[in-house]
Order: sequence, then structure tokens, then C-alpha cells
Amino acid sequence: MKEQTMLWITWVLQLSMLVLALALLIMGEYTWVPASLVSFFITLLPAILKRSARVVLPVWLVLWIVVALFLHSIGGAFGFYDSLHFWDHITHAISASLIAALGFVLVLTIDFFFESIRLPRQFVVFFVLMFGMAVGVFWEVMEFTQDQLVGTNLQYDLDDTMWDLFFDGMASLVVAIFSFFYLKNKSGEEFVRELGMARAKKRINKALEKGRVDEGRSASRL
Amino acid sequence: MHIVGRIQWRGIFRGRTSRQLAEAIVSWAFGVVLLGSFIIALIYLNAIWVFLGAVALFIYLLPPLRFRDPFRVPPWELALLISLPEMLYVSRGSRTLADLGDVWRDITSLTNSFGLATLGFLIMAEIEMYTSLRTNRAFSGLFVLLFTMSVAGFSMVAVFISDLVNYPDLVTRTFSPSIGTDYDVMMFFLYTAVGGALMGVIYPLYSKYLTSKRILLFGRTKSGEHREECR
Repeated sequence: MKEQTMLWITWVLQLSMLVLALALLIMGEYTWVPASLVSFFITLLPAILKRSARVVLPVWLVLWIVVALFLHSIGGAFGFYDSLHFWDHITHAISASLIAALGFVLVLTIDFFFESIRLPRQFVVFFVLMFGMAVGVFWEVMEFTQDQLVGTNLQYDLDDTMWDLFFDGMASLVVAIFSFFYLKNKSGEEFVRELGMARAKKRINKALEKGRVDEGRSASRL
Repeated sequence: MHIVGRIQWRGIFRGRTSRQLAEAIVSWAFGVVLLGSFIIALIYLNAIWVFLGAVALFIYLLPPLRFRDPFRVPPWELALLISLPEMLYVSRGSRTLADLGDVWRDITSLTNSFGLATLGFLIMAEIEMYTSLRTNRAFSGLFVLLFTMSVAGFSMVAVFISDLVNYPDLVTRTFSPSIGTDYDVMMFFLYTAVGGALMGVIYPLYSKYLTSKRILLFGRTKSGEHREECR
């Protein structure tokens, strides 16, 4: 798919989320309004990152984030989570694949910036698989803990939990296979350079430096 | 202990020191224990322990099979570490130990979780010893934890699906014969997270202890040469 097409789909989905939140608000269906609005604002984060830190996430990754949040929002708003048995599994699989993709970005960035770390391609692929599933397990533990402590009902039953984990594992496996082929054509270094992480690091360091100078000035005034 | 002279044997023993031989024998002894425990788990058809044993054996045997060298086994202390949970599992069948009461039962019930954490520990050590990977302490500790939690997830899913196939009438939405209820699985994950975090903290300390000289005994690779520079 062309980048421009992906961008258009991203904008349409973002707009739909905003319209959905407004429609729910007008209809008085307040339950999913906060979730839809929060999801919409999360989809704006890549643009904010680009503007403030000059980090340019790949278009496919941004689209992925938007699709995951869009499906979650409409699933909640239209009651798909209750009426369609497979909806929860679909959203779980897409969210897990997104987490695995973010694990891919994370591990390549670590490999790029830390002198003491050198990760072979096969290890990066293995890491992506492990990261996706591990975050899935932590998520289930977090839901369980919340249910136990606060009395919510985030985890339905064993069957539901195990199928969620199954889809987490499968999605992570698919992303790991994609990462393998992606890194065959492009080096990890090239990928991180395109993200603009080095520029972001410079800007953050500059901001921190400025903060320190300002602190020093106010201390000397005192 | 320092390296004692070379043994004048032929074949695979050619050029090996007595220290290398001793290290390999002790490691293989624990490897045999691991195999024995795996066979017992197989006889009793305990799905979780069969899975754990198979993964542990696979990780243990990977270096000697990959390099076709029986001396390239994981260090004996790692072999002990991964065979310990399996040994504790087998000890549940011992009447003498069972007579010790609740304490022994509690210890053995924790072994599932720590068994997984030890696998994370072993695989990280093997990756560092036998591949070109270089890493720092924080990253290796984090990876041990991630690996542990991930294998815990995959193992539970595998056992659940095996139950669905083997006991289609017994598995309900709230119970599975081999892994119990949702509460049991979550408690297992919680214990595993504690075990994984503990091993994640211990691993960098062990990595520091595992000096280049000692790695040499198990077949040093390119990455081994960089280990000291990384610290």
C-alpha cells in the first residue's frame, strides 16, 4: 500500500473516532465517551512526537496504532465486545501485534544507542516474539490484580484469558516473522536513523541543558 | 581452582584439560538428572512438567548439538539450577519428604514458577556464551524477566489447548484439568513474575562472575572476546 493511501486511511479513522465520541455524547451514551476521546488523543501522539521531538514514526506503524484504537472504540460503542464473540480476540490480536511492533522499535533503538549492546538480527526477531507475549501476560496479571483489589470484572473466565493469550502469542509470532524479513532488506541502523531518534536525543539533551541553566540562574538569584 | 595439566587422550578428549573434563562430567550428570525427571513427568503425563522438561532439555542440549562437541555444555551450576525444579517436582512422589508436611508442599508448588525463571537464566547465559551478541547488565536482566514471562504464557496456552484436545468434556469455561481455574493460572503468573524478577537481578551478578577464563573452558566464541570490554 502506498504511503499516501495509508495516511488518508489514518486521517479518516481518526476523524471517525472523533465523530463517534461526539455522537455518543449527543445520544447520551456516556459509557464509552471517555474511552473514545482518550483513544483519539492517543492517535495524535505520533504527530505530537514528530512536532516536539522530531521523531518520525513510520506511516504503517501510525496506521497500525490508529486501527487498534479505532476497533477498540467502535467495539465498545456498538457493543461488539458483548454481541460478537470474536471481537475481543480480534482487538487483542491487533493490540498484541502493535505491542510487538513497538518492541521491535524499542530493541532496535537500544541496539543503536548503547555502545555496550550489539544484537544480531535473529536475536531481535526472538526478542520481538518474547516481548509481545510477555506484555500480554503482564496485561492479564494487571487485569487480575485490579479485579482482586478494586472488584472490577475485567477478566471473564479462564477460557477467555487463555484465548486472549493465544491470540497475543500468535500476533507476536506474525510480527516476529515480519521483522525477520524486514531486517533482511533493511538494517536496524537504517531503520532507527529514519525514525529520527538521534535528532530527538539531541533535542531532549538540549532541553535538559536549558532546564539546568534556568535552574542555575534561579538559584543564583536566590 | 586453576587449570591442571592436559590429559593425553585421543578423539574428543584430545587437548582437553582435566578441569574441562571435570566441569563437563558434572554438567552432564545434572543433564542426566534432567532427562530422568523429564521421563518421570512423561510417565505421569504431567503436561506442565513435560513442557518445562522438554524446553529445559532443548536449551541444555543446544550448544553440544550445535557445535557437535560434548564439552560445550552449559556450566555445571546452570545445569544444577535448571534440574533443581525438576528434581523437586519428582521429590513430591517421595513419601519420606512428603512426611515433612506443608513446608515441603509449599516449596514444591513454587518450583513451577522458579523452573521457568531458571530457563530464562540459562538461555541468556548460552546466548552470551555462544553467539555474537553483546549486551549490558540491565538489558540482560530485563531479557531474563521477559523470557520467563513469555514462556510462562506460551506454556499455559499449550497446556490449555492440550487439555481441550484430550478432555473435551471436562474443560469448562472456568476450569481446565491440568492448569485449574483462572485464579490458579494468575497466581502462577504472579509467582513466575517474582521468580523472573529475582533471576533478572541475579543474572547480571552471575554474568560478572562468569569470567572470560571460565568461558574458555566451555568453548569461547567471538562475543566472549568482547565480554571484558563491555564491562
